[in-house]
Amino acid sequence: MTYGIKIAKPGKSVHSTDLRDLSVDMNTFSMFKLHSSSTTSVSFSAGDTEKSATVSHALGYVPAFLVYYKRSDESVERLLPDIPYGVDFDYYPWAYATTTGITVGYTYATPFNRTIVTGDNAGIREELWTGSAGLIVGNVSGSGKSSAIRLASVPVPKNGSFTLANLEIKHVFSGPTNSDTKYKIYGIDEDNVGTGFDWNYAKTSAYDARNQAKVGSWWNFGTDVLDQVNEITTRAGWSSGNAMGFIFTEDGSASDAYIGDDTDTYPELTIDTSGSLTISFRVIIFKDKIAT
Amino acid sequence: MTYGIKVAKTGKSVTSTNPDDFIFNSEYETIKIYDEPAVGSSVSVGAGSSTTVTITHNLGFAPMCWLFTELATGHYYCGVCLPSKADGFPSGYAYVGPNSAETYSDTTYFKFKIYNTTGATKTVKYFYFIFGDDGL
Repeated sequence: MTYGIKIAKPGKSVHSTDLRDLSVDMNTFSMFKLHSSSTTSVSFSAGDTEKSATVSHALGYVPAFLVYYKRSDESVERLLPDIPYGVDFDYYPWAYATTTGITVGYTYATPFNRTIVTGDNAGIREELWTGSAGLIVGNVSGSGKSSAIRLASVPVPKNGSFTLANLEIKHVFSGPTNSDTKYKIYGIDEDNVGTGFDWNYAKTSAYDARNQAKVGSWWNFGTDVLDQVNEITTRAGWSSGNAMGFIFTEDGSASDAYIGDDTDTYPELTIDTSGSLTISFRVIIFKDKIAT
Repeated sequence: MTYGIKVAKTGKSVTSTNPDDFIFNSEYETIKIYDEPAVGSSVSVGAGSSTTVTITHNLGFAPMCWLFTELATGHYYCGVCLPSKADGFPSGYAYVGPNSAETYSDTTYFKFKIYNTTGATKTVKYFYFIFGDDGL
């Protein structure tokens, strides 16, 4: 004879053979034993892709666990696992147990609040230049040259609150002289820069003046264009997805002091938007072992 | 008069009407663990392939199930989820198939399908609970 407690649901018999009729049957079923319930959180800022936190348990084995999470931009608490419907794998929460703790985290496939736009050959024009180089600016054999970049679609909102805008030019070479290349980088002050490159660009009042020392081999450089981007995106006619442009103007370089990039690598514009996101987790740990 | 068993949490009264004040109260249904495997059960999943694990329960109804899988060494993830970037997503990782045709319970079986997108065969440890309660 076996002993134990068996409690049937209202209207059901303790002699039922249907397991679902019983609330408790200590001879047959075990029940979960709660170890702890606690909270933790992680915060995302622009550029972050993955954040995690760990709740320790000191059980010495891997326990069963449950995790709920809540994004600070939502009002609901969700149960893990949860792959948000309709966003593919763009962002998702995760959690795993180890012998020492429960680690919870959140992942963005692309950096949070960061927009990266890469140019192409069609979006680069050089003034009076017919060679095979891409962008070029400075003084080539006594002739001042300017260049412009057009990024066909920049998905940032009008009047956005941006904390960083960096334009990176890649695989750049220097002219033969050891003198600095002097130039300025303006935004093109237009709502939606056309493909014509008519060189009658209106420039933003903001610019970045640079004195670039000669560099011996291929290199990359980035420049701060936050003020230019702010000026463009606060234009009345700016809207997300419009084409944005920048113009590099020669500014008194000595002869043969110039820089250029090749045609196989393209400029890259990175824009960070202000704001943060906090993911709050509720971690429930049981004493029930799932692994050693 | 109703009969039953109540065990209150420390500092709480068994006469409380707040369900959260109890460790156990037979007025409320309890999740019942019907089956669980030996700790350390595992399955081999080929490189770039998948393997279905089939557990026969024969309960006659589709029970609630709770699955844990070791998608990365020592890291036991819960249910159908993606691992962290540190654990290989998206370059090469293991995961439990989210499709309801491949991970489900019915009146006879609990099945789950484990995918391995890495370039090497992976042994995935797993643990599950099958409950004596309806999953639907």
